[in-house]
Amino acid sequence: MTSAIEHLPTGSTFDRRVIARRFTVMLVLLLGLVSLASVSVGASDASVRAAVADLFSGRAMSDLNRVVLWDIRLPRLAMGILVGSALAVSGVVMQGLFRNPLADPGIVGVSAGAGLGAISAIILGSYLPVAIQDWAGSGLVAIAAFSGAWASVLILYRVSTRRGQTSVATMLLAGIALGALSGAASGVMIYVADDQQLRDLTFWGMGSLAGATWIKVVTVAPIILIAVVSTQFLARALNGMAMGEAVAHHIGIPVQRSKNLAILAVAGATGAAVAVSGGIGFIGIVVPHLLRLATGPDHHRLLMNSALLGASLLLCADMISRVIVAPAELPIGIVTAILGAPVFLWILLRRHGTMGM
Amino acid sequence: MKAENICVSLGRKQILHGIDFTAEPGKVTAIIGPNGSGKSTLLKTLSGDIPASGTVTLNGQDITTLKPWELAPMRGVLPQASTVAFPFSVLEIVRLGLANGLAAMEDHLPSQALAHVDLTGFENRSYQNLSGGEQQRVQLARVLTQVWESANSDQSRWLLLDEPVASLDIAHQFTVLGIARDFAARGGGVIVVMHDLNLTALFADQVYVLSQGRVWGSGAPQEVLTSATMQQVYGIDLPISTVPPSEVPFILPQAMSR
Repeated sequence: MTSAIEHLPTGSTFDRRVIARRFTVMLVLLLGLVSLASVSVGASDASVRAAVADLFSGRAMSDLNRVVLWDIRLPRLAMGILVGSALAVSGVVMQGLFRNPLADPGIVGVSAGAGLGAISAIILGSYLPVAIQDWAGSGLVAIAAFSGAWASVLILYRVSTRRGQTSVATMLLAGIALGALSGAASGVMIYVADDQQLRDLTFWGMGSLAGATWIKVVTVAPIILIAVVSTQFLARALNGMAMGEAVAHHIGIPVQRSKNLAILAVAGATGAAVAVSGGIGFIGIVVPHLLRLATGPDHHRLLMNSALLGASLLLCADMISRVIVAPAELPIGIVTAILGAPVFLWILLRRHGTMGM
Repeated sequence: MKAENICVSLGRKQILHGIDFTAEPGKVTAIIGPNGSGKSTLLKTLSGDIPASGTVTLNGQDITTLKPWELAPMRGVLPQASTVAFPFSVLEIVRLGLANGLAAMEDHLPSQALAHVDLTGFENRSYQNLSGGEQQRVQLARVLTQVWESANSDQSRWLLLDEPVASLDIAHQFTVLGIARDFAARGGGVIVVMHDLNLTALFADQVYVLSQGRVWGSGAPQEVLTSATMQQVYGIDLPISTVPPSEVPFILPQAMSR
């Protein structure tokens, strides 16, 4: 078959792999810049420059700088990076798995399950034995949200798996049903809630990074890092599955094992992200979509680039949420929705609302 | 490649009833039969897509004992039609045929495979914007990339094609079946599901006729493509003629008795 064929250059500048690689470098730089800005911006006038100067000259940092930077802004930065990358990568994996560019963790009921968990904790938490309340402390809502996310994923997985084969279509439909059920249960909770609880759960639903502490960061970091790193090994599987599970099998991909890994990773990353930050939308849809427009749908770079861009975007949204009504704070979910929804509509209009996303 | 006593049921309906099937490397083996006779199901069973009772052996190994990544270098499969969920370029699709880790070493293969299916210069086109026939040829290029060497020292490789010429113009029908012949000539095995009986007669070495989930007959084209087959399997009265030199049978639809 190696007859006289013109050898065509495949490494030309048209090759989207090259562009994607350059994007990775640019996104790393962008994340560095945004991180620097993120620790510099805030209601307090703590100074990063003074703190760094103190650090290098061996002087003790001023108390204000130490508290504001070390206890407030740095954990918030770390949380923003973790949550942003978790949401964006979960979006990529879900869209690949469901072969649909509009899929995100929300549609398989992960977010609804987490929401039900959080709402239950906010409203029923006060009925728990005092010992448990003391032990769980402010983490109770996070633990409940994480458990809720996992419970809904496990139920979905059981419902949609027959003889070791998981039907992605069944999972999608069951996710809608389970989401409705979680919504109804949440509705009952909201109905019996008092005013303070209503306020708490409303704010939880709008999302925030304000509660970031080092303890929360250290708790969710391993889960999110393992999930984000392990999805990088799914690139070829997700590329193959874009042509259907049969083709993926033909080219040598262990389809069921890949689906298991994808579902586990999304449940872990989304569950952890939602647990510590509440409901933050649009990152999981807008980030992968923008990157697909720029560098194509090949998952080999898309997964990593999405993690980087997701982190940067969430940090930007967080800065806006801190600055726009300073010294108060706008919930970050509102900012991502205000920024994300028009961008998304613009993308759809530009493509004449056709498929081919 | 050998299949013994294959039975497949989808839902409550049994599709294949005890099929015995053998294909040899170096030959093009065609599977023909009316709609719903089980051709595609048989091909899916041979490629290991659907579970079946009975055994399928490929180069002497039971395919149920092979992992997907062990099976992939031994056989490439061309499905009837493939839709792609995202706007992959032609080159990105064909590259999927490259095994993990080989991607850097064999980077010239995808373009060569595209040249074979007469799609030189299509590398950066969007797959979703191609015509059905062009998409089918891109998929064939992907499959060819996967099993590029039709045979290596110890074993043959296999092409399993499900109606590869269904959406192609007549020139490209010859191109694609010529590729299949060439693959077999170099020691590979080809199993192809066909509808066009004239092309089957022209390109196949061995033909299996399926009818209602059973093997109705098998053999060389001139043994199998007979007026009796036309009547009993397809239910039409159509005489079979032959072209002199090698006695290749042909069917002239105009000869249909009304």
